[in-house]
Amino acid sequence: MTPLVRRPGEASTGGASALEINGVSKRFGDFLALDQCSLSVKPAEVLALLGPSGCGKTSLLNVVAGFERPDQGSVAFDGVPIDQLAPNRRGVGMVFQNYALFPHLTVAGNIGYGLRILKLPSGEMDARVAEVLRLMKLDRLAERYPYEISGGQRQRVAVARAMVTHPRILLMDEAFSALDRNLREAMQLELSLLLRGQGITTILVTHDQKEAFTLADRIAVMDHGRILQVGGAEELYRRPGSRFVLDFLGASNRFKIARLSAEGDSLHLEAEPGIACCMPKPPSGGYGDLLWLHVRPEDLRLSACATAVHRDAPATVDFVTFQGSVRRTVLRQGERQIIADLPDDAPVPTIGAAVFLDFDPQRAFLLEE
Amino acid sequence: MHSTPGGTASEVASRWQRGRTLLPREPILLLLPVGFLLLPFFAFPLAILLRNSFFRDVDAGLMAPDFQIGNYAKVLSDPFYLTCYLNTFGMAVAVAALTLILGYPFAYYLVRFAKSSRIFLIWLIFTPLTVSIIARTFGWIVITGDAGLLNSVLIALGATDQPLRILFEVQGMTIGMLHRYLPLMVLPIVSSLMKIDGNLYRAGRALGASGPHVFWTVTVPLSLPGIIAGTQLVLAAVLSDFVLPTLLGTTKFRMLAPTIYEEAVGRFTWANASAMTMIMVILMFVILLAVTLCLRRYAPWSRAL
Amino acid sequence: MTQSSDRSPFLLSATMVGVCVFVLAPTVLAVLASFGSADQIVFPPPGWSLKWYVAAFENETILRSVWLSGGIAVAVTVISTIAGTAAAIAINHHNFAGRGLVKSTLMLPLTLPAIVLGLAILFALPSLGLKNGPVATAIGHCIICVPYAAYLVLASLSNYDLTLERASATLGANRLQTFCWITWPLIKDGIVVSAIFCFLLSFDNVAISLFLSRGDTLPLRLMQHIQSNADPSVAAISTALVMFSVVLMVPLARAMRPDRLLW
Repeated sequence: MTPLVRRPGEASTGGASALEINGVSKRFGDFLALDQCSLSVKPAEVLALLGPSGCGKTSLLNVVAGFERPDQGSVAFDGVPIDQLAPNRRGVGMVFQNYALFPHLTVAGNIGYGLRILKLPSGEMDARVAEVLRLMKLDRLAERYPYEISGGQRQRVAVARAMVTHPRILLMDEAFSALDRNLREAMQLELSLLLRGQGITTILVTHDQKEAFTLADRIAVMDHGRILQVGGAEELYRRPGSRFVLDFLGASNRFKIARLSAEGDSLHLEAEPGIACCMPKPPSGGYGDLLWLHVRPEDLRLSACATAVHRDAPATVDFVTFQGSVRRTVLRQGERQIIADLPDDAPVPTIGAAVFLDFDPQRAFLLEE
Repeated sequence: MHSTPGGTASEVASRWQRGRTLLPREPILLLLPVGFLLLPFFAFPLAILLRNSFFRDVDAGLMAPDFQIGNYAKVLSDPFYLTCYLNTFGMAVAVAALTLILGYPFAYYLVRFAKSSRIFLIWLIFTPLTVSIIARTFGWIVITGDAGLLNSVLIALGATDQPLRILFEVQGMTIGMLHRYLPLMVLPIVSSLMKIDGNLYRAGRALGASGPHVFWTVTVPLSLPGIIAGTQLVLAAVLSDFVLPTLLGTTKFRMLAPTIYEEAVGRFTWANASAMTMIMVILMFVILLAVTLCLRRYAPWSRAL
Repeated sequence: MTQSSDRSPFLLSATMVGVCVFVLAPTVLAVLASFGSADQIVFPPPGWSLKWYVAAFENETILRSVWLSGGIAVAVTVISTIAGTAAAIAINHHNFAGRGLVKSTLMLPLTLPAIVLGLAILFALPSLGLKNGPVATAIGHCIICVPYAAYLVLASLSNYDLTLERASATLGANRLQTFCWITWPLIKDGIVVSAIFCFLLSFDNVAISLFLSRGDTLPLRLMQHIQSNADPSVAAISTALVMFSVVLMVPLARAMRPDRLLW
């Protein structure tokens, strides 16, 4: 029985590869889809390309798969450029957004398609197909056709089909967007376990931040064809390099900085209205362009009296809604709206009360925008 | 999988700059057979037709390459030809109207009420298009002839003493055309009706409108693109019909296509026939364009459908 | 749009029945008349007999024309289906400059009346080195059949998901394998439909054959027969033609959901 789990040191056409993307650019007519994208993916790593629609993430995936030729730059697997290879020679497995299951083949036929091309002896082929059917919990469905099974089952067939040939790199294009929310979360967890167990280098494309956080070891945030920041989930969340990344991965309240001065290793700043605090200097040392202070709603607390960071100009509570795990409180301060997500065990704010904000400066961000 | 460095990144990139698809030359190869057919046997003959319309008929079968518009002048001024065009155009409008009156209810029933019978009805409306034209025309001869079904029934019922002349008259030809072109009107209307969101009907009812009111104020306007498409198809078809006028019609009511045939193959006045044909084509395009413009003017919202 | 509890108003149902009868009447009547015993077209016929079938099948001219029309139709079907399918694949799969123009040009022969095409090709025959006859007729038929073939295959391709070919490529199949195992099985129904349609279109064609043949195709012979001595032998042949169409339409019906043609 051929196991799908890779043994250490197993070299073959199926070993997990490293992927290097170097300076890839691609234009479609007037539209610049990819702008000098560079990225490295380590063997057996799961990397998510995260961004809004139109940011170029699917185009980049298509370049790796070989369906688009870059205008500039190149792609290499394990250091070897593969730009001239046709898609069917690259050894990539791909799961498409609409699954692209062959409607005229059964589930077993779909999964065995790639094995048939590899010309495996039929005994081994049947064994591998049976193994993966069991692994993906599709055993009873082997002889069904795609139109006879549910959306979640189809997704599993698509994943099984892509993985059974032991591709060196697995590409997944918004593979969960067609599922409804509950099923999606269950499938994401399942896939996460599977990918870690199989140890395949994987690139997934998604616009859903939760999906990226659940499945990926590292995340590359993209916008307008450019890769803005790459890092682990927590790193991106806690230390976003730009407003886009900050807002894409969560929400923030922003306050314009009125005065900024350096003192040793820290920065003293005053932001309108009435906020004053001390924050560590950014590692690069430069701080002249930093004009805005951002604080996430879940980092804000409220207090009836002045706090260390907020001394004048209290805000007024406009309304409060219970969201399950947090109490979303909308505050008004002059023309500005501030949102605080308070934990459910904090005191419930009274509508109309004047409150002061409190937050830990270590968890706030200073950004150019 | 082999490893071939294949040049620097920019060399690789420039080599692939040419095609957007994986195999850029493939579409041309696939289009060659069609090109080989259409260029010499479609484009070229049309050019010759255009050229011939400016020549002058000299003797039976010969033309002088004179480049004059005399043919056009003759056709457009001679009452014989003008009647021919008017007849044909009038017939086209009449048949279009009749097919609309008969065809719209059929289409509406098909979309709105027929469920199990829907496939059957679609095939039914298809049969005039696929069963041999000769067979069907013959069927009409059987029905409308002096000794045919209709007359036998009418005489037996005592409704008339003499057999009614339907066949070989305008009436017979009209019935035949109505039968033949009904599908051309029905199918676009069905298509149009099917695109209408079912919720619109419910919305109208919820707002207090009765069934017929919703029909006339919502369904019919929204099916206008289909009505227009069907009308255009029927108009074009009647204008150029040869078989029905020849087999079911009469020489007292001249139609275009048989007349052109006579000019070309009977009397060999090729230049004249060419001119008549060109005028027919221009007339057709003008009418179709006018109809489309009317639609755009009175129903600008139909573009979004 | 169908509401489950709806029943159509009486007037509408009555009109429907009327239209259905109207549509079927000539075909049914032609079939019935072929069994009549009278020498002329009389309905209801005085008696029933099969003599017109005998007469029809003994008619040399008619039989020869059946073979001629059949031969032409087969040639036209093969050429038009291949050319039309290739064009449809080119238009559907590849996004090249001028694609819209090619598509419109391809449909152009259908927008012109057949009689215009027939006349034009007739005029062009001497320059092309051809004469009236089966070859010219076949070519003329191809010109109107190719757009239909392309249109029908395009319509069935529109239901064909292009990502299936990409999926096949990622699984390692080369272009030939993808075509044989994925593309062909999924589009062959559309191609069969278009082949049957082309055959019927050519076999039954009058307008083009009028100008380009020597008056010897089946529809033309039938027309001449009707005009010279309208007797029920035409009915017999017509019935045979109807049966033939019906037989051909069965695979058509199975391969094609007719409501797909509508959009």
